Amino acid sequence: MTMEEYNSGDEVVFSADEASISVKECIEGVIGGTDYNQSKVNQWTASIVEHSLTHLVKQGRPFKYIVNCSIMQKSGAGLHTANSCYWDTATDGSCTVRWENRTMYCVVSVFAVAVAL
Amino acid sequence: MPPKRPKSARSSAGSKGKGKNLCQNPLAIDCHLAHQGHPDDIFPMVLTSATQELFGCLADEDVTGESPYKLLKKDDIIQDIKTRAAVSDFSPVKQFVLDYPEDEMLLVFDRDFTYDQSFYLVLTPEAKDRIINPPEPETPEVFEEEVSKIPEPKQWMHLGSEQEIDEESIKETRKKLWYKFSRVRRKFEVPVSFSDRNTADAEDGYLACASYQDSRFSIKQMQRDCGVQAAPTQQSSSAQTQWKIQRNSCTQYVPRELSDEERENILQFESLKHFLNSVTPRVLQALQQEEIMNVFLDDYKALGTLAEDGDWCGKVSEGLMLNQAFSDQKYTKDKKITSINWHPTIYGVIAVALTEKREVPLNESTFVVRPSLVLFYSFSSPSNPQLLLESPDDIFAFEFCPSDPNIIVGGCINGQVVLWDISAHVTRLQGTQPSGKKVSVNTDTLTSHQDLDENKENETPVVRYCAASTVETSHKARITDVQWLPPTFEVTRSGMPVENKYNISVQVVTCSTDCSLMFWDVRAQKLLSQSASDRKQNADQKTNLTPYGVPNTFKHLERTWKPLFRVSLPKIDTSGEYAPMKFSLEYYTCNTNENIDSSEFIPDYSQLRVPSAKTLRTLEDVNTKLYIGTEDGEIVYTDWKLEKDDFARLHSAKPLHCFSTHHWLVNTVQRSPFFRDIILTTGGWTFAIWKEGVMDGPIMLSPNSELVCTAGCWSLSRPAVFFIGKGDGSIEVWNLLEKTSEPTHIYTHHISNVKITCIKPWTASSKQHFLAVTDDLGIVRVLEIPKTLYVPSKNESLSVRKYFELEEHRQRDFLRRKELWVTEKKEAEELEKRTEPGKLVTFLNVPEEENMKKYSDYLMLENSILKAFGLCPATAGT
Repeated sequence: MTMEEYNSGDEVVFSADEASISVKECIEGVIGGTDYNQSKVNQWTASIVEHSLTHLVKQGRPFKYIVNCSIMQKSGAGLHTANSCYWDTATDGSCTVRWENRTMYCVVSVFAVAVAL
Repeated sequence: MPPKRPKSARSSAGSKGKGKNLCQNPLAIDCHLAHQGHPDDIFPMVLTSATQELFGCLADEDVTGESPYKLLKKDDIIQDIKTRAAVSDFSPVKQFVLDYPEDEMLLVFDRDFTYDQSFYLVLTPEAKDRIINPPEPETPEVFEEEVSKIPEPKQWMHLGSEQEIDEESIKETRKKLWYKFSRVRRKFEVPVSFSDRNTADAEDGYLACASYQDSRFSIKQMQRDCGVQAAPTQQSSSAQTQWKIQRNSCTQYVPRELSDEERENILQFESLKHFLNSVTPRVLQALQQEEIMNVFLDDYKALGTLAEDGDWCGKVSEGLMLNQAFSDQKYTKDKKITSINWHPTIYGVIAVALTEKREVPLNESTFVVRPSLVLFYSFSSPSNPQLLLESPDDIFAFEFCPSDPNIIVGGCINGQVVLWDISAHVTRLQGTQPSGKKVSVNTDTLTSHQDLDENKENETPVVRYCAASTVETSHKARITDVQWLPPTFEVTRSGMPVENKYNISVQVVTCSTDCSLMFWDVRAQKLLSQSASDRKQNADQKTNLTPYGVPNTFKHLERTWKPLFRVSLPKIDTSGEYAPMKFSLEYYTCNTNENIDSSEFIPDYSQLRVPSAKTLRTLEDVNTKLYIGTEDGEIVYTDWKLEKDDFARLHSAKPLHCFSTHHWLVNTVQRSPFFRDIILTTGGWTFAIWKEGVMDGPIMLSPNSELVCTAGCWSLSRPAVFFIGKGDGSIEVWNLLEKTSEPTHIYTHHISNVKITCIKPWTASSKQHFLAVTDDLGIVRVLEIPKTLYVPSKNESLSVRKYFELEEHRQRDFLRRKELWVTEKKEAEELEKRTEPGKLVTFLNVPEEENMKKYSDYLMLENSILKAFGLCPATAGT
């Protein structure tokens, strides 16, 4: 990756919508249409995180990314998550994508922290 | 000399050659020049054919291209040179020949003119050897050596391409440059401002997946430890009484009586006797008067109350109030009610017969068979039937036995007659009475059934039929009406009415659309050989049940039940038969019957036997005629007694009268409960009232109404009132003493939406009169008859009877007058005919011409109009 691809001149802002779209696609690609399978869940979470991260990094923005993925089987139990951050709200951002199907929930959160140059 | 010769030979040959060559070959000069081109040790020469012959080297004969070598003797050549001197071809080479050391010289035929001559002479022996011998063996050796060797890699020796490669290769023209950038670390940091981003700030800071109850993941705890301690129930309560000074007190009185002595004394008193004597007659008179009439009754007041009750003209009566509605979704879905009966003894129990609404042929295999049921409803549970009677097929009519209400007879759609015995379930029916009355029941019939009843309290018990008639002998079409013969008489096989010794109803009459009536007996036929042991067995088996749980009451009829006899209904005028829908027998009351048992006696039907006909006395005064309503709307008055024809066979008589009054099938033929000879019939759009004995027609015929009359019944308490049910679900109340051309009340709204199928009134108590109304949807509604409609007016029956008599007279009058009119009309016509011919002649001619002209004018007009419309008449006429 060459230096030119970094938009060093423009204001760098994290766009949550784009990120959520691409993350959603990643999730769909990995577990769309499958039912919860305990033996495969580890593999799925790993691949979701990997793919999402790859897509995000490919955008070429000067960000540090943290991607977190949780898959929970639908069994009537409840799940609640929360996150809070201390960062530069102007440049940094996060987005959480919640996806579900008949048998499981999948929650992926992406945090992007701008890299100062 | 010899050396000279060759030289000279040579030179001469050469010169000759040259000369010849000059002549023959323009290349002679070249040859001379080429002389220097050939090797020195051979000498090209030309040999003439003579020389060739001489030496035996003829070209292409002795020497050829393949074997061009010819060895010539040196001596021969010298000889030739000597002989022919200058002419010899060998003269140029004379010297060489002389100098030749060896004896033989090689002459080679140069076919290809390699050295420009056709021959050449080899001058030195070394050359000769070389030419002939050495070359051949050398060449194969060289080849063999090369094959056996594997070529070994040799050092590459460039042949000049090194240069090109050098030119193409890249070489560093200069040394590589190397730069290093550095910056102080603190200068990298952009000014930052960090702030908190809480979960509340961003929309995705908090995420919830709510919990819910998922049945797949609920674990049912099958075993749980829990401690139990039995402890006496304790209750602490306190009371505090007001402590007043208590004192026991009691009273007891004893009537003071005169002692015996005192009584005696008093009785002896004269004054007492005198007093009694004087007072006694007055007292007696007063007592008598009281017996005769009630002095304390105020007639005017009583009149007032009665009048208030009967003042229905002015007051707007509430009318029939809906008391209860019965329907059970499970059983009544898609079914209509064909027959309804109140239970004669148990309060508040109604039985209804349900049939399928859709007319489906019986042999359709896809028809879903649902059990044909008769439902028993009770007032206490309107939505759950108390009892279900199961029958082989849909029931169209059923009746309770008047002597024993536990026996029920029903007629099926396929022509069979079935019997039920519900004595096992009577307590269940009675126990559900709202007032909780208990009637004593025969306990011995129920000992074995009590446990069953208690267990099955939650389920509706289903009673299967006890007996069914054999299919071959039953009716061929559906049975439309069933009635028990009254307990006063019974009928023998031959159709004779005889006395009924036991005074219980044992016979049933059924009518069916296969145009016949059948008489049935529910008793067993007399067994010819009956030993005592059999009798004992029968007695023991009194309370046993058949495998289906069906009581044994009618086991004797199983598979053998046949009718006593059959009455067919041939038509009066034409051939064919009537198809009866309903019939009505006269209730025969026999006065001279000694064995009148009290109503408590419930006969045991399983023990009854048909007595032989001879032992019974024939009753002559039984009215054996009955009214029948048919499918086509006719009312037929016929006799069911079988007659003997010429051949002494029994057959049915032709009906006495037939009136087609109604337009459609007759659905009610009912005798008035007050008058034995008044009958109400409904059917089609009318209803009619008949009097038995009046053979001209109905004494009253209602006007045609817009709606179909589907059911009718007399009121049980008022002789002038009857109810008609209509096809749209409304009920009309008619009161013959008020209005005879229209009903007094019409109740439309809260009765039903669909056609009313049956109406049955019932008197539950003196204050409660009910009317049960059933409709096409399977719902039974019990309406309470208001007081105005059940309390009869004064002398109502007398008034009604008078009214009927009036009607009778009127009808007779009418018929008489009708006849008069008919005769008068005939006479008038005849008169006219007689007087007419004279007048006719004069009128005929003139008007006829005029008429013809008018007619032709009209025809033309018609044609013109039609043409104007474009509708020319196709038929040729004008």
